[in-house]
Amino acid sequence: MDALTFSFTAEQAIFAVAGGICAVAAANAVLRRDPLASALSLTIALFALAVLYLSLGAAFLFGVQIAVYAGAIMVLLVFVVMLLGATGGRPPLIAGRPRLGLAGPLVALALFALLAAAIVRAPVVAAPTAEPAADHVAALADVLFVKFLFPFEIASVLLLAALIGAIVLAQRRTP
Amino acid sequence: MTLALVVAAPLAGAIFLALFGGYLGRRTSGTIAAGAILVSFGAAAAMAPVLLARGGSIDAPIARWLPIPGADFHLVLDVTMLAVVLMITAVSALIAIYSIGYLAGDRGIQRYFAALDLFVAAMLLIAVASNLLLLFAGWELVGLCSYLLIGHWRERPAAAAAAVKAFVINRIGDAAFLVGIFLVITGQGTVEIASIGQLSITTSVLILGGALAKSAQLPLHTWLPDAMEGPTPVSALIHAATMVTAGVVLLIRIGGPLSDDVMLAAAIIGAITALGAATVATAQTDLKRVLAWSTISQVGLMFTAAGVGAIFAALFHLVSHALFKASLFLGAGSVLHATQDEIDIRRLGGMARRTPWTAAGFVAGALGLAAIPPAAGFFSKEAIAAAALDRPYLLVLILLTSAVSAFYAARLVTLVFLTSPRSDRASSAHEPGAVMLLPLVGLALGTMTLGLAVAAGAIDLGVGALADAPPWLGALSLALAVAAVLAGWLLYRGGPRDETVLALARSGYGIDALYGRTAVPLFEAIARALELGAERTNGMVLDLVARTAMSASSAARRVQGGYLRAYETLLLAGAVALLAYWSIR
Amino acid sequence: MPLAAYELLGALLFALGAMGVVLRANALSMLISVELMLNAVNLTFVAAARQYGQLDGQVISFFVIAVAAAEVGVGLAIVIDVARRHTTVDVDAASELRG
Repeated sequence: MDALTFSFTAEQAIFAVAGGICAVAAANAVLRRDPLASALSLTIALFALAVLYLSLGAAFLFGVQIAVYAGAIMVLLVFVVMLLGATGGRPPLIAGRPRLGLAGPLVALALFALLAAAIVRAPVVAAPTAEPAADHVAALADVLFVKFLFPFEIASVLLLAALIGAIVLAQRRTP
Repeated sequence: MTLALVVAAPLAGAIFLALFGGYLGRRTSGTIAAGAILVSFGAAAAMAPVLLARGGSIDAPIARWLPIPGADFHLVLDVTMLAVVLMITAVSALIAIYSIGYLAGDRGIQRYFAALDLFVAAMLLIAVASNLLLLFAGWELVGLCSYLLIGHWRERPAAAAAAVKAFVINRIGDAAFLVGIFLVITGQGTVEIASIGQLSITTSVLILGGALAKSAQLPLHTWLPDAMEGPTPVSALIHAATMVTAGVVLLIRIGGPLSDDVMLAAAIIGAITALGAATVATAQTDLKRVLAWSTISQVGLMFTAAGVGAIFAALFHLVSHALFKASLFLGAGSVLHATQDEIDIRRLGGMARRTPWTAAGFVAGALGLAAIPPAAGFFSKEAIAAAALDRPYLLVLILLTSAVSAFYAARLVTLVFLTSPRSDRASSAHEPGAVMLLPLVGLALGTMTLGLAVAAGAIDLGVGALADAPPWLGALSLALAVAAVLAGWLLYRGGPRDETVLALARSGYGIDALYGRTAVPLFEAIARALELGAERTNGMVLDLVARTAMSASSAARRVQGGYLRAYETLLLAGAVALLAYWSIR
Repeated sequence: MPLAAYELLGALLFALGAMGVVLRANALSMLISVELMLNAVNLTFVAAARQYGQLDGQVISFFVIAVAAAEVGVGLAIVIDVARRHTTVDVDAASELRG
């Protein structure tokens, strides 16, 4: 699929819808007690994000998000949730100790306020005039394998390390 | 400068021995110690011709010290003090050599010699310091060395107690002296001895207090008999020849500025102390304690002389007493060495036959004590008596003291040397070696020849010739002395007698016991209260510090509760705080 | 659509995720919240990439996804291990590393 840039109003509509779904799903994921419900809510949020990527001209990333993030990572998460069997009983939303009370939500609120303030006050960057490349994937590949070659190699090593680590950890016999 | 060398040589010796004495043997350290003192003697002797020829004084300004007028490292030697310096160095050197033999086998001999040299340096400082503060530094140092040397045999509790007693009683005098010096600073504006004018009675009394303590006069005399716990050479040097004479030296040096009334009081105190101590000496059965009380008595006579302004008499007696008392002490030391420390004179006897050379030296000293010519003691006591002619009450006390002194001198010589031995240790005694004999003989000879030389005017001690005393005084003194000696010999030639009638005298008239029941418990109570107060305060402070640290740490510990979510919250809060800070900037 | 809008959405998602991390006691729920934070960052990068006319932002998001995959893998392995020891994934129970 080509990188599609929608019209101003179309993009606004997509943002409104997908963004709204994303926000709601995210809130739900955070606030639900049942980890399974959280996982599934997050998956929905990820899908919404994928749509947003698409509208932002990142078609490849749209595919990767669905295939890798929603499709592999979340599947893994759900798998483990079910493996551990909802931890025997309903886990509390806010545990007894330590009594953090509203500390968490308040800090998060402060965080959002600060970020929002920074965002709003930031100078407006002029939109680019250059047309997006015709072959999006090729352009992406060009950046990835030339400018970011070293991080690319490192990332593959990282994945290898994580693979081995996960196997080792999961294999350990409990004493 | 030569004068600085006088003080610097023994000081350097002391430092060297303190640092390296541990690597040196007995003879080496003793030789170094004696050698340093002899360098001092040589330096003083080198300056003697110049001083004697032109009079005045030799000045040696060394360095600035305190921002108080006159308080500098500044030495000054005049003719008067020249005699003192020569006496101190000569006697100290001989005693140092004697110590090499006496302290053979003593494991701490190197620190002994280091303390000895330091003592000599400090004593010389008292004699040649130009100002009261430098003198006081020497004053304190001799007190310290006295403490170190009395308590040299650390393992003996009696020695340690005696050292403390000496130090504490001297401290009382030192405190008075120091306050006196402060008054001098505020009243006179300078501490330079040559520039001090007339002092008030208060200041004079305070300074006299310092002299009384250091010279073991009434009422601060009780430390000296106990100080006999130290090695005998120490007793000879510090508690006969030099340190106890520091008070006299002080009175000689600032006798002018001191108030005349106070000086007269000093004379009276000296005379009373002299007679009282002499009677106590007659009742003692411990060989060294006889000599200790004798020293108190003789120094009292020096105080009397200085108090009436007879500088020459005081000085002459100071030097002659140093010679004969040191002879007596070294002789006593040899007796102890020979009889394996038999110190009770009731159990001695017959030493004349077994240790003839020691006996000769001792007898020479005894002649000086009894004031029988040709010993110098006769002439010096003559001088003192002559100075007191216009004060009959003093004269009587002096003559009585002389008589009693002759009596107990005879008693001592008879019981120890002339009667037959009364114990195994006495009968198996043998003469000590040359190292110990030679200094004794040297001092004895000095006693004998000095008197003759001075009387004949051959040696000028610098403050005028012997006052021409009326001949009847000399005759009277001699008669009294001879009579007393005869009485002593006759009474004791059969051995010890029943002396219960002298019991009160033996205890020093109960003064020491009185102090022990009143002043000492008071001091101990104050000290204990202060210690408790200090300890309690210290405890409280430490407690506070500890409790604060503990509560702070247990508060801080709660951060590390092990609860993951608490950590997360803190992390997040920290990040938010950083963000806030940056956005505000 | 101005960049600020996307950024605000990203900030919102990020804050939500942060709250979730602190709020939830369940280890798996925590992981989910962390993932949410990562995604918020991704959104910001992609939006910035579009605004600045460079593909670098998208490439960075790509890497974020790769790292997230690795992290989830190892993290879940740890959770399983902890669950085996304590028979629970309540993180408050795993508080032995305390001072």
